[in-house]
Amino acid sequence: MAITKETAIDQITVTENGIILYREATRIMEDGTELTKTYHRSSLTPAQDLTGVPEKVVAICNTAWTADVVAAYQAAEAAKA
Amino acid sequence: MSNVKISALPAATTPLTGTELVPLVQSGVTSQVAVSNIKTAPAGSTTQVQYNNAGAFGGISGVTTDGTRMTASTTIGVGNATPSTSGAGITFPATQSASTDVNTLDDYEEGTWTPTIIGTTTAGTATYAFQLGYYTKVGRMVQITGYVEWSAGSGSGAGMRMNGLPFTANANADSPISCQPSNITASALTIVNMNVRGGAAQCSFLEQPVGTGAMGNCAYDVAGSTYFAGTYWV
Repeated sequence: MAITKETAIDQITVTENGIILYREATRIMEDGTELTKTYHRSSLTPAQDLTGVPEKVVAICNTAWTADVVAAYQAAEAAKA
Repeated sequence: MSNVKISALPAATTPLTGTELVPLVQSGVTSQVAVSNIKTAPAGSTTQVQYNNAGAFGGISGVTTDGTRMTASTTIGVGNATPSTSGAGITFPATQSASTDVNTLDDYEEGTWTPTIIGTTTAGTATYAFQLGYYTKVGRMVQITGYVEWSAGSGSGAGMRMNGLPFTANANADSPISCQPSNITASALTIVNMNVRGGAAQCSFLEQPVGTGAMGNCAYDVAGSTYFAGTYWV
């Protein structure tokens, strides 16, 4: 009977305006069967500092956050401010 | 028919219609019965819902019926979700399968998130004594609650935001949420409150004038804390 803890980024979403949402799932397993699961969610706005962000999320941010996307997001923010 | 083995008879056309006759011995007398009158006993207790258990009847121990209503004693998975092995309830898929039908509950999720405080000109960093948020998403509604306490902030700007919300708010819906701020500097005769920004995953800190006057941004503060709770939709 082996109890293990697994943590994985199991969901990454890129919204229309460039916000990146990702979810970290932590699963407690017993012999391969899931006993319990918890989620922790994070969101990143275009051009946000990515220090400490998981590598595969950074890769998606760098792809999604083109200069046009960042400019459009910042313009929308300025318009609402 | 005499002296002919059953195995030598021609095969019947299937599926049977129910009107075919089958011989049987009842109370020592050879008789006939229509296929439609042959009943197969269900498995399990009398109220259990039956299922095809590899070609045989099987009773689902956790699902019973009184003939009108069904009762599930454990969990039910929808959208091909594996039912949770703990508790009793409805298990939704880990990734929402959105329905356009207004009467369909298509998502449920709960978890944590990490609020950060940023400035609108320079996001900056801060030292956090506490930063924890909880969320529960039901359909398109997201309920958040939590507490954040920061100091030594390096951000700047005429506005201050709480960043990191678990879901992006619907672009057409800014949503006020309640807060209990402490040690956040605000203009005289104003009350600090918070608002989830439509189209963003952030809350604004706002100053509400006491009496008349328009709501405005609360400037970035290098230190402070607030409890918060509220609902927004995605």
